[in-house]
Amino acid sequence: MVPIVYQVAPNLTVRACQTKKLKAGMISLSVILPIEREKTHLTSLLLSVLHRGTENYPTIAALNRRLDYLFGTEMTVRNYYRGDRHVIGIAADLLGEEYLPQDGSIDLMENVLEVMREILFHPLLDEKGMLTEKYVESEKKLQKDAILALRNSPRAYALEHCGAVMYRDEPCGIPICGTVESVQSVTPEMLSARWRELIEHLAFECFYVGPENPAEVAERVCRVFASYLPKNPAQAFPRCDVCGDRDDAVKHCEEELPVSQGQLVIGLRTNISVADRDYCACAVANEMLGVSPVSKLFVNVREKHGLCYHCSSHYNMYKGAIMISCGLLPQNRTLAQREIFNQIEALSQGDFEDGELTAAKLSLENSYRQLEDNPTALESFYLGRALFHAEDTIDGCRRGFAAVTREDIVRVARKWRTDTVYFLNATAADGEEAENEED
Amino acid sequence: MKKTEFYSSRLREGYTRIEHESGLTVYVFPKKLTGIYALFATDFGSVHTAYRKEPNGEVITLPEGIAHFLEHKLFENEDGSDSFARFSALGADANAYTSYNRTAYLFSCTDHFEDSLAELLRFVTTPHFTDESVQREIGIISEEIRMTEDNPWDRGYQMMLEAMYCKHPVRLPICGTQESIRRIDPQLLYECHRLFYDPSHMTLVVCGDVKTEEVMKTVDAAILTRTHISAQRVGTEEPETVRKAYVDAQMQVSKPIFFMGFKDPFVPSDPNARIRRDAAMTLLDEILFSRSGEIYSELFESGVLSPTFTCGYSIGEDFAFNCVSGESDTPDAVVERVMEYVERVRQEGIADEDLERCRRVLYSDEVRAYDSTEEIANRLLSFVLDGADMLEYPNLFEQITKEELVSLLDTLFRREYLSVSVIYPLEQR
Repeated sequence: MVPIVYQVAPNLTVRACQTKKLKAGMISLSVILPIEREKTHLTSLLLSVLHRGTENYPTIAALNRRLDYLFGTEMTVRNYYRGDRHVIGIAADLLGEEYLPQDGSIDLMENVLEVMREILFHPLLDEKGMLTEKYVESEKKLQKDAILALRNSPRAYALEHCGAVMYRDEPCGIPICGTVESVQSVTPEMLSARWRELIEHLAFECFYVGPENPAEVAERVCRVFASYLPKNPAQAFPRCDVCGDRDDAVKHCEEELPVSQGQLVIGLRTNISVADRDYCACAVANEMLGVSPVSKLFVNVREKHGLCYHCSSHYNMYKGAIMISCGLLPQNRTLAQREIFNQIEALSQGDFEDGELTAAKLSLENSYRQLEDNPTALESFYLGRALFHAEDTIDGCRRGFAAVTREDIVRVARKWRTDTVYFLNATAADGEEAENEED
Repeated sequence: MKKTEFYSSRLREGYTRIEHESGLTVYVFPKKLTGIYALFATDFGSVHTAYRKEPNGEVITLPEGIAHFLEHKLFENEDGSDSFARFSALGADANAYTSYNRTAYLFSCTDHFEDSLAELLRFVTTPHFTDESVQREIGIISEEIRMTEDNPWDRGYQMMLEAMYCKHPVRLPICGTQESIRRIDPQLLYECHRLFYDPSHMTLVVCGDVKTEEVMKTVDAAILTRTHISAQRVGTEEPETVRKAYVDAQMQVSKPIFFMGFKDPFVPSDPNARIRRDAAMTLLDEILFSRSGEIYSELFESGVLSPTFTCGYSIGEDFAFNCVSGESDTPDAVVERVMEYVERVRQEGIADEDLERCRRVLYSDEVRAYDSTEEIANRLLSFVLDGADMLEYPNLFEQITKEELVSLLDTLFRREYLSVSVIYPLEQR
């Protein structure tokens, strides 16, 4: 399934995939921004404030009641990094017309797009034309809470903190929500200025998956948004590059939390991104290292040594990095760390069975084929590639995986460099806080 | 071999049930998507901790977490190989999970479906355990337990169950405890497999672009031997009211996390009545606690509640409860405000407009659930294990009356059925 691309306006690209297989389609609007220390946390906060209330739907209840009426349309906020780019947006599912009850003779897509337009361009403003102070202050508190809540999940905490050390001199090392202090200092004036700056310069990437004719979808999106978009094309971004750390010294970091399980995270630089020729080989090598239950990390660190429940690796293809994560008792750390490095070494020495390579290729083939069953995954695939000017298709990737050889695996694994070793020590590994009970 | 067809013209979906001569029940749900998803499950779950071999015989108690332990160990084969590797060689992605009332083994694939299905049926029915591998597994599951204990949401939920229930094994952690898993040995695992993995305890669900004949050909070729042993499960006498009204603990959280568990004292024995109660509670939860509703709106807009607020009803053969959870700096005040609000709705009734709106939302959610073979297969398994037809479920939202909802609200949302569990930050209580 390959989207048809329409450049419907200077600042509006529509990518549409037509499929009759699904009962609910999906439409999303995304904006791609650079990551900037002074602005990124403002943008994240702005996105939340815009969803709090609009001119026509001034409260969270009013907005949700409107979406309930539109057959429970789920509107989700997109706020994430793709390599060194910040992607923000809004997505909605669209129930297929043939499943709408008889009274539902409304144009669902048009109505949903209008709610999106309302959220982005008609937020609730005060008499001075500023974003409502009440919502700004409330969302500031929630954003600070979200920053602090990272410690609720030791695994996510360890991954995030390892990333912060690893990417300390790169854009994606800047926390997407900012810091408690940077959020605290935001005023309604600052946020309103950021909103105006954005709507005056933004360029939309619209993505659609569903039964409608792609050309008609493009036309409708254009009809709803064209008059709201800037007339001059926004500045095009240069291709997003992997700007790896040039320093060869391995960074080490250790922290602690009062939890019962320690977290070991190892960050590797592959220096191979989605736009590189070796991307498929690197993805297969990572699959062999730590993705499936037959991967080297699962079989050796977990099954053979029984050191942990989870030990896996994740390839960030937009950053050319691999994060290995393992939850274990602090006293097992040295053994686990040694075993993890042994497995990486084994890949680069060609010390693996042909069956491991075949299994990894088939596993990727299986998951990539299933992308077309899932609109959000399709969007992520094609938007991610567009960002890197990598005009790849799912079938192209599948052919790429199939062609990967033993030599390719050895070659890419030899390029991997350890960047950061992070350990979150568990200070409550042996005793627990007592629970209190009252009648 | 008895075959029954189910179809919904409203959803434009249907499935077939086949009662195989081995005692196995097979469900095939054709769906023209790329991924095929298969689940092979036994009705043996974490709550099944006591049984009798004969009527009036001695009650045998199993260590907590044994169903989950067995799930981990079944992937190991006699020749030393691992079934994960066999699935991987076929390009299929295999996994398994244990819940209160079942253990399910599964795979998803896009190719080599029949070979993968044959492997699924084979490995689940041919156990092989050694002392050494059981010992190693204790280390792995021990870390899984620690991982769950470090998750404040899991921990708070578990504490809520322990506060609500006095005896019912739904209060036991699914993975067991550090102590209970050390009481598990190969002999016990073989015994559980013999008693609870007989084909008559098993259900196979397949969803995807497959034909019933293809599935049945593989089922026919599989060696499914009946043991003809029927272990009798021993139920528990659970009081109507809760064990503890309140429980709390401190963890590394940034702000308090609360759970309000309403123990449902009236679980119907008829499966259709149970499903209707489930649909009615789901509708009532949507009316009372959704983001469009009054209480969320009030508490969220005033800064008392975080957006993590959520609710859900769980029902099994002999237990049911409704859980409302979220994060707040003042959990006690939220609990009080929720109880006041429910009391007001009880007195003033439910607005027609709210009922219609929530029916519309839930019907739409139902339709959306049919876009993933994984979701369809898992839901179908839940429904069939509870003896109900999944395709009928969306119709229930329209049949359930306002009076029924008010009466449910009246029975369930009472102080004597409420257990509150709170996880406070380490520096605060």
